[in-house]
Amino acid sequence: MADLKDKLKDLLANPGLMKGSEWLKERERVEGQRRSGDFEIDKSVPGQVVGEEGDSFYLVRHDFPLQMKQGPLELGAVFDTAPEHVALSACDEGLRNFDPGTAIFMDTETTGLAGGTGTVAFLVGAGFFHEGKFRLEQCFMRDFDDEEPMLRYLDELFERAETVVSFNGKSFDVPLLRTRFISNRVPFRLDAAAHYDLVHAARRLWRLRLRDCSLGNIERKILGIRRKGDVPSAEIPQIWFDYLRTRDARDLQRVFYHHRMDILSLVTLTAMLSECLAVPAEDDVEFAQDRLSIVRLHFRQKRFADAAAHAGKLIEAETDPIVRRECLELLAYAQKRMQEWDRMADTWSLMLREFPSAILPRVELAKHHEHRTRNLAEAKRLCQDALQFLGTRAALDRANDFESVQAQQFQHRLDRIRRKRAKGAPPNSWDLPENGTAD
Amino acid sequence: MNVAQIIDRLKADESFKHNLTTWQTLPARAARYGGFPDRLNPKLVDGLRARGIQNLYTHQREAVEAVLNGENVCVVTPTASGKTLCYNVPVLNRLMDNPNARALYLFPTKALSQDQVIELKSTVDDLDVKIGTYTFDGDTPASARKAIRSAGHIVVTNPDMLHAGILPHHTIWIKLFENIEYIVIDEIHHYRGVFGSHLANVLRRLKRICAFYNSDPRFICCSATINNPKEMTERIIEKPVHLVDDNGAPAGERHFLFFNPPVVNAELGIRKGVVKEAARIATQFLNRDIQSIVFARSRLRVEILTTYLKDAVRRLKKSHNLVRGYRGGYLPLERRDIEKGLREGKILTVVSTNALELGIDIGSLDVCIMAGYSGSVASTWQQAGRAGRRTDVSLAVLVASSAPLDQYIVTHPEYFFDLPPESGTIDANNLIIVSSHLKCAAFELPFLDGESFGLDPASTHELLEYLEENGVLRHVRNKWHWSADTYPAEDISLRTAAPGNVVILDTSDSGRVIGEVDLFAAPVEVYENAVYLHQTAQYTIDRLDLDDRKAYARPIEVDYYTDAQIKVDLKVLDTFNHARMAEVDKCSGELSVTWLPTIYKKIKFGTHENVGWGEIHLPESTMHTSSYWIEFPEDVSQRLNMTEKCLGESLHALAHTLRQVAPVQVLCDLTDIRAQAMVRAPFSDKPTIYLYEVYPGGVGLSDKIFSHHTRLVEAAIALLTGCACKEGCPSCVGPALEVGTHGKPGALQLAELARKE
Repeated sequence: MADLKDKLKDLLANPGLMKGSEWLKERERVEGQRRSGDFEIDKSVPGQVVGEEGDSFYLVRHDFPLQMKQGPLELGAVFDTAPEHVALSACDEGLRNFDPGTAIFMDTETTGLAGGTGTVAFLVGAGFFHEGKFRLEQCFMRDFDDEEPMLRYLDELFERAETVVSFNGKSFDVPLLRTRFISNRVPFRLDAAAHYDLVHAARRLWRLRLRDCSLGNIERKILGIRRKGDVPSAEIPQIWFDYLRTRDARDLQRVFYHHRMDILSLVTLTAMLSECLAVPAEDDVEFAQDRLSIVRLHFRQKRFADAAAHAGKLIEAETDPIVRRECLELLAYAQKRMQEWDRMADTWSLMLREFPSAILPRVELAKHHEHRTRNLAEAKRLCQDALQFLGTRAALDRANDFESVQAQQFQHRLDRIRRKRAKGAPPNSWDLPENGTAD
Repeated sequence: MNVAQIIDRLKADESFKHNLTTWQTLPARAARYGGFPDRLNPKLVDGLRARGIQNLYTHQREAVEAVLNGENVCVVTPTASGKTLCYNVPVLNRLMDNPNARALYLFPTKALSQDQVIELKSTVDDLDVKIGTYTFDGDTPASARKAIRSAGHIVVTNPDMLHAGILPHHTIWIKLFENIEYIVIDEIHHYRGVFGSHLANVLRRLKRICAFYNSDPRFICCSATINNPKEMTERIIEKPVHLVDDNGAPAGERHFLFFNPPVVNAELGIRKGVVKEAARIATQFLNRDIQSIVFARSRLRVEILTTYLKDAVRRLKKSHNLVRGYRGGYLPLERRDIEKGLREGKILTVVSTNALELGIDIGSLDVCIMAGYSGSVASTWQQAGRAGRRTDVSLAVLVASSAPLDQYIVTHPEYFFDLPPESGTIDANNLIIVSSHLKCAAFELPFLDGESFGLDPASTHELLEYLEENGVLRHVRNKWHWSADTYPAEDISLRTAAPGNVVILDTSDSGRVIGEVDLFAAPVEVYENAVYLHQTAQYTIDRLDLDDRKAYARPIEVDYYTDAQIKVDLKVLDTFNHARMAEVDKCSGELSVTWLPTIYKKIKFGTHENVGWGEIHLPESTMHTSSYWIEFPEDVSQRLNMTEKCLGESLHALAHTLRQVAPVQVLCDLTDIRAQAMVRAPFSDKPTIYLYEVYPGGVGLSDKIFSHHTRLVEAAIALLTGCACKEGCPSCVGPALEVGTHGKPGALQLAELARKE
């Protein structure tokens, strides 16, 4: 079968694939360049070869002073983060002991997004604090055979990491690295470390305001960074493939820059996230949407006092009705969970005044007056008011399914209140549990 | 009325019997038991007994023993002989002893996978053991996938999912691949031709990954009755196989009838329609409350037959829900409902495509009616096996259509009942197929120098080099790495005939894809101005872009269809097999086929009048493929006293006939093979008939036909002599209008020459 290749070409009968001769010409040109080595990686991106000949990879190491700024903050600012706020932003109590000193800030550049076992991470960066500096190690594969020694080196680095900090690493970088480690039969110890994935934290805090929560957009809008000489992520795989063919590493300079910037931003972004969450409730916050995100986050983590404090501050000054409405609702529910009944009733009443079409305050106030203040007259009035309102909506054919269910519930409540009033409303014995089934 | 009574009544019905070409009675067969092997876990044996399985049949015992001995096994048994126990017993036994072990089950369809999991789950529940059994296919929700990967002891899937969804992600399936001990392949006869050639390569990749994780699973395969189950299985799994084919399951007395609808026009060889005749016969059973299944060859026929039978049952003032259709395209829940209705006897007649031929559990029915020959002996037996409880009498009726293959079968029952059935064949080393999977394999794990993939190491090396030249692989030191940002499995379909199909887009419906044709068929089917039929809707093709592999269509309504005239050139590139017979030479080898569509004719529906024509402007296409051919002596026309024109017609007629009966010898579809006749072949100058494969490179059909030359020619002679028409009809050589009036007698003379040893 000496002519298998030709046979296959004939079978496929596809001119697009028949570039064998072009390929040969191209290879000759590249071979010349390769032999001269003028633009090899060591000429283009200064670094060092780690390991023995035939069992090595390329390492680019930078030590940055803690005073260096990446955006408005210095790298060292990450040491001011309170672990409590890291855990809060991640909604992960496993980060309660977060210590930047034992963390690894990690990012990869890969041969594509296709997934599966055929995608490699040709550039893996790990940043960590070392002897009073921020040390950034960019581990690079000059070719496929550099992978195994590189992974063994990374294994040693990863072993001492207590936390990994990444941007979208949970769903992308870590699974991809796990696949690479398994394929090279190198143990993968990163799974033992805690993982602080900034993408989720950033979305919780800034999505209301930014919508686009890619690292690039966050850098621009939050950290105020303008990159110079960057490369679009989508072009990166081809740059590496071209380098493999041509051994011309000049374009890789931009890839190393891109990768370095990504990791430096991880450091100050960590600091920034905590800083935003550390703002005391009484201080001003520039963007109301950010404050609302903070209220949501506290509420979600059942930190009702903090949620109420921030919400209270926000409604003092904020005028945007969308923000106000959600904020009032969260505030009232936080007060409810803290059993601050009078404040809760005030908040619901305020909300009802500002948003006469809101149903929720009527529901909650009716419950409140029926079961807690036992002001059955007021409870009845609220139910009647709600039914009238919902009835009008239905008459205008604007009611949705949810509203018709609500109307039924108000009717049940009203009937019950009427029965209670007829019986002269015996005290206490009618008490229903909070959110009782009769509601 | 029961089946035995019905049979007595039919025996007395002369007008019915008049149309029968055979009435075979297969005697009842007693069960033969082999007992449970002592080596089995007693808890498993107790559990099976509690489920009503008191003993194993001899073939089940043999299969279980062979698996326990560490052999790869292929079990060949008819429908309803308890083949699932042949693999479930050893697999469950192993999983009970070692909860870390894993097994992978492959079924050709999703419906079969579902069915298998339902049965396995209920067995596992009865055994009261913790064995996770899951289907993993395109319908599996993302949320369940993680649990299946880590906790699925038995993962049930199909070859397509294994190829594109599991193997390329083997690192997240590490638990499965480190611990896999058994691979079960059911319905292995189904994987013939292109599909089987792909499967063999998917299994090569699977074995390669298992080796990486230091596991070495055994294969347990099941096949319907074909001529060469051991050979076929060994070609697919590429390991020696212990064949188990001595069926110990009992069967009741079975009656098998061939019904040939009466001729309405002897001149043109036209018979009464198969659908109406099948419906008429089915109605008789429906009227007598006998549960039956009707098989039809297409979805459309299923719908028509269902409508007829529903009307019939309404006339009896009974619920039309007693009759149900069943085919692909029905929703899974609806299908479960029908299956349940059949098991519980709430449905009297089900009309189905071959979807119910495979082992979906519908219990056993009394009668099976086949509206048309299924295309192979193996699947006809499978369909017939749907009728027949283990002790009672059952009945199967094959109603023939006027297609040549149907006519051959019903007029030659001895072929069906006495001769060995067709042979299955694959060619795992078809260059296109093997190189496609070589890509996927390199994506999964880099190749080492000297490693071989199906082919010998030198050829593997050569193909790896080819892939490097195309920029998807990179050779560094001693390894070949995947070096592209694509996912190769995505572009490779295991089921379509050729790489890179042409999709047909409806431009009036924002480019919706309405169908696809393979690249080599595109110039013949979707040229500009062609009328393309899709689910009875008509489209006209506005533009064919072969580079982009797209054809642009829009709906029209006309009363004609189009038929392309094609100039075909053949060139023999290499002869692999050559044998001199008494009068002719038979050969197989490699062929270059060039075809150039020249004009198209507009043919009116119904009357088949030619109502116009147009030119087709397309470049000629070339394909290299495998072929079998017969060379006649140069002086054959003098010897047979034929004119040149007469010889041409005769060769053409015989070529047509040989193609029609080829599926009698080899498991394949009619569309897998094309025929071409030449009065003077280039170089040899001899009158020649070629049967060539439509898949580039071929998948082994030609060599199989070559080795069955005599049987093939005999089948053609039998069809020609058995057909009552005078000058040729659609049921033998093709209509006389097309082949000329000399075609039929001439074809017979040529065939007689070709038969002489």
